[in-house]
Amino acid sequence: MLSIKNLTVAVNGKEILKDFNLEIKAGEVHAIMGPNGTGKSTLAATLAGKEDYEVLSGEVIFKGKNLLEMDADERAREGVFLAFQYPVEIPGVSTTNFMKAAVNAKRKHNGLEPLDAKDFLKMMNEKSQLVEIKREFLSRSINEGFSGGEKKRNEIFQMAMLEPSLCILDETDSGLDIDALRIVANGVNKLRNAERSFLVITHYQRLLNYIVPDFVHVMFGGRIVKSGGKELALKLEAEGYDWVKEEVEMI
Amino acid sequence: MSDSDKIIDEVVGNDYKYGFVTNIEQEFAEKGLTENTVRFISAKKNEPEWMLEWRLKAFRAWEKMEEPTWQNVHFPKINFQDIIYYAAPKKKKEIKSLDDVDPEIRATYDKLGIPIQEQKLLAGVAVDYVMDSESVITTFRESLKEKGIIFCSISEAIREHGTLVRKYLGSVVPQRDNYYAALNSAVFSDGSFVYIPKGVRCPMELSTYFRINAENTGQFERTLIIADEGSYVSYLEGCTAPMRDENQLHAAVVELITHDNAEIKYSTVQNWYPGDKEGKGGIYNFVTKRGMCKGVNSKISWTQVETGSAITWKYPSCILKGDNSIGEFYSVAVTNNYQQADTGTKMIHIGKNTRSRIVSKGISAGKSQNSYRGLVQVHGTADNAYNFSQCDSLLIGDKCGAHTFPYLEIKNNTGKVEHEATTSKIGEDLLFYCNQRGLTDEEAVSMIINGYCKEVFQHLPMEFAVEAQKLLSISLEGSVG
Amino acid sequence: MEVQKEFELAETAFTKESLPLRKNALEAFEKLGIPSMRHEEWKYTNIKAKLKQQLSLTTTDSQVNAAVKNYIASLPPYAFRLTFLNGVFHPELSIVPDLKGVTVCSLKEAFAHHTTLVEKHFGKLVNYSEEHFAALNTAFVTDGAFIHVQRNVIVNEPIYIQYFFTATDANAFTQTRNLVILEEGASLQFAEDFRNASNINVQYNHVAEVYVGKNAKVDVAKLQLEVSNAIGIHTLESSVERDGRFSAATITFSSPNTGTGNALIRNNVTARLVGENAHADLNGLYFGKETAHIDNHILVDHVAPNCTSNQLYKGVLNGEATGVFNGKIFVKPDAQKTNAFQSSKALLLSNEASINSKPQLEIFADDVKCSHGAAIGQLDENALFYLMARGITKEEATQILTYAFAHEVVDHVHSQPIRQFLCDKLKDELQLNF
Repeated sequence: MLSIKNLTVAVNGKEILKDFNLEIKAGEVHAIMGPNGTGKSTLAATLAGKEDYEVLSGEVIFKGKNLLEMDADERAREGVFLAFQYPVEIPGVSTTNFMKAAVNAKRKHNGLEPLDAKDFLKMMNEKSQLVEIKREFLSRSINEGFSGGEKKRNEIFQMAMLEPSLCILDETDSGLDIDALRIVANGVNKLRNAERSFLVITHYQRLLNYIVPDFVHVMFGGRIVKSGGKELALKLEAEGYDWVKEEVEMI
Repeated sequence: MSDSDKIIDEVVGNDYKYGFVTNIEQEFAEKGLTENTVRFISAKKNEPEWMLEWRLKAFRAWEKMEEPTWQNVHFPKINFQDIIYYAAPKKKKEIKSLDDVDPEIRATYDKLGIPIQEQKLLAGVAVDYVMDSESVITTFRESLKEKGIIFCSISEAIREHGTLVRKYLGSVVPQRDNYYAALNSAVFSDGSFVYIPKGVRCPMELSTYFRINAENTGQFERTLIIADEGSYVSYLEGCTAPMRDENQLHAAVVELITHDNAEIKYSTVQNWYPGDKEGKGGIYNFVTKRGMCKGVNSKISWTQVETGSAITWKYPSCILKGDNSIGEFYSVAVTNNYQQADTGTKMIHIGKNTRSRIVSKGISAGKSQNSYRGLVQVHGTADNAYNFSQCDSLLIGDKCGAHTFPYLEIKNNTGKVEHEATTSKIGEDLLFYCNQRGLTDEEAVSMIINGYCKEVFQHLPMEFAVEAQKLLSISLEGSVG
Repeated sequence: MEVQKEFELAETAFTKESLPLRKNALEAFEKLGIPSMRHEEWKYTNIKAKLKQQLSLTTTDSQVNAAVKNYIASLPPYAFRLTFLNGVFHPELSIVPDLKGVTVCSLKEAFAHHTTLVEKHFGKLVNYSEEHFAALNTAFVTDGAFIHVQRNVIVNEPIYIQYFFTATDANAFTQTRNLVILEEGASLQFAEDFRNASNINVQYNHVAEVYVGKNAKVDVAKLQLEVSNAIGIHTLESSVERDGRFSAATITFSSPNTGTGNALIRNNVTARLVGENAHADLNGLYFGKETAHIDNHILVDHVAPNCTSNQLYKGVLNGEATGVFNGKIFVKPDAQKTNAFQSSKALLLSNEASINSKPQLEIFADDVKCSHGAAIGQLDENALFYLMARGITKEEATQILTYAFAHEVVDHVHSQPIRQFLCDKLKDELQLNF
């Protein structure tokens, strides 16, 4: 599904990701943890194709194609989805209209006809139940005046609508209370299947109680320094990051 | 060249698609403006004596007036003696039905996407087609006549409905109101006239399509709409012009009058030729539009989408004289390349319990300058007046300017006046978010702009709203900041 | 007005060497004259009609009278003050600070003893070739205050600069001026306090130039507390360098009339943010009564990127008072990432009161956040009713709500002693005792 090899990325001339490697197979859920400022969000933004993130070396192959050669919108239509840490507001554009444009852009890319109003509404209804979003909510301007939890639910709803192959969740859990977290996590779990992979970036182990990962990686100084199963997350929660740091520094 | 500049360039590369010229035989007045020009125009139109006198009064006033300079636009001084004040397609025979219209003219309007044919009527819009100085044809007048509605060219109205015209012409915009209004009053050649009788709700949208065709001419049309007690009409105005290197002057006057409980909804999609990418050519659009809510509970609503013209200078206004009358102004003004727009409204509260609402959305791109200028005046007599104004500016690119000049003059303490203005841009974060959902920059910008202008578009008649959205995309596509 | 003749006679703050500057300013004024209402910046203020036809610019009468003495006696014991009578400095009525790294003296003295500093800064912020009254002031300034604060010096106590008018010549048009210079990292708070202590309607034209150096901080309070019988024109120009902070509060109370009632106050306050990350706060509060005319023209000019500014102006107009508010925000092409906000509100408490408001934005950069809001109305009827339902009279309820409305601006005055003083004054004005 996704193969990242020796990726080095700079922002404003400063190297953030250094010689980063990661392999994700179809259907797998990978969690990336690490203290603030280790490059977790940079990884997410780089994969999604944000400008200003300068790839100095390395390669990223997504479903057999060179991801780095594509613009952000092309990557999205190919099936990369990023749930933003800070979703933006678009005054005057409802979630419904926004999704209609996005879903049909993807369908066009795949050589399909645009959905007619009836089918689109049906799809909206189905997917909105996943994250317990009310209908009237979808006719409001996107993210405008939404609470933190509402914004994150809206992100997962969009994820469901766009049916991506690779879902990147960038600190989707931060700032959520336990109820909102549960709703968001349930939504994600319902979207898990054998073809779809997840890259869950988080600062807190808490989220991983709800979204159980196949692999946990610890990032430090722009690269993965330790990988393991879900028990690694528990150890991090119990003991903090210091022991990882010490291990790294010893090497 | 940065990416965003490239995109701007690509999009602006879209040519103005209404820029062609129609080859038809035309009649012209001699270049320049003297008392004889005014007499010539009046004679050409077989006008009654009172009309000629009215025009001459305006001409004499104009001669003594000076061009205004306070507006926030810059252009070389206009030589008013270098303009042709009358140009009209030569009539081969009297036009009685659609079949009599010159095939070239018909082809022109077909090309503009507003075919002169019966289907249009079935779509529920009656259209007055004006090319240069003359009304070409007005469709569907017979069925309107049954309801007592008069919809014809103003020239015809002057001849056929003299009493009505004489009573109302200049009653809202007097001859000497301002420099360009005086000029228009002296030389106006055609335009539309609408009268809706008492208690009649006009069953279809009335529309005038203005087209400048001839070279070196000015277009001076005059529109007069009267809504008698308890009546209602929705009126649409569209306009285009060929691409030429010289600037052409368009100085129209529009007067609206509503009596007790009447309502006029006036919508404009203005798409005169804006000039090329270097700012060469384009129309100078200096227009006076004003409505008088004369009667109690009457309402005038202006909606405008301004995308064309090299320079736009217009302030569709409402004089709220009748108690409980309502004035509204909804505007989207887009400027790109070297366009300049100084537009806004005046809401003059005189009657009690009068209300007004202003929603102005300015979008500046390229090297353009976009100004909102508005006046809210509450007179001592206007108890419980209420005004709300919202003026937003959106900037695309860092070489354009957005200006807001609201004037609030309040002489009554029982009312409430609120004004809000914001300035924002289409930021990288916003674009990236849309890109991440699979939308291209162009699609994203178009969607964001339409969202931004939604409040205005929803006041346009359906058909116009779609056209306006398309027009906006063409004017701005890709000009991403 | 025979300006040429007056020019020869006038006793000014200048030394002989500074004559060329005066001459330039005089020439500019002769070209400009007194503005009429046709001038956009004077559209709502008919200064030409209000000023006397014959203006005397040479008056040097500076009698101390009982009113001045009483007022000074009644003042709280401020640490520092400079007192001027009809534009003439009175050291015996002043407490001049003597602090390390701080120079405080009269402008006249500064011209003589701190020539280099003065010449480098005087007349450089005001645009006297275009501004009528700045030109007049530059040509005729009698005296004023000079303050220079050296690098990293922090002046903790506010300096009060008091201008009294005791003139008996009704044609006198007093020209005063302050020059304030803060070097890098310095900090200062000062007040300009104007009082009419005469029995006649006085006329004055005051200019202040304030230089805020890198990372320096200035708080100014402009107090126009007894101006019902004055025609006063105020200009405050500041330039703020990188990381500097400038805040100005202009407070205008038109107290009961003693003179002809021909009151007119015009304020031109400008903050020019010339270095990155500079900040300006321009606040104002005005109470107009009877026939008072209070005109506030303010401008924040964002020249450098990443700067922020706030404007908050509130007015309460009673009687036949008229208010004018013109607030401008300019964002120049290089001033990306600007954040600029403006809010202006006015209460009209009588049916003869009126306000003309023009909040103006001119934006030439795209990556900016600017907004302004203006609201004109009366007190919230629900709030009035709420108070009255608790047994408070309508009159008192009006005063309480007016106080609440106005207090927000006073709260923005940084200097604690000045803020307290204004708070008390506000309560006096509204006859509140809580």
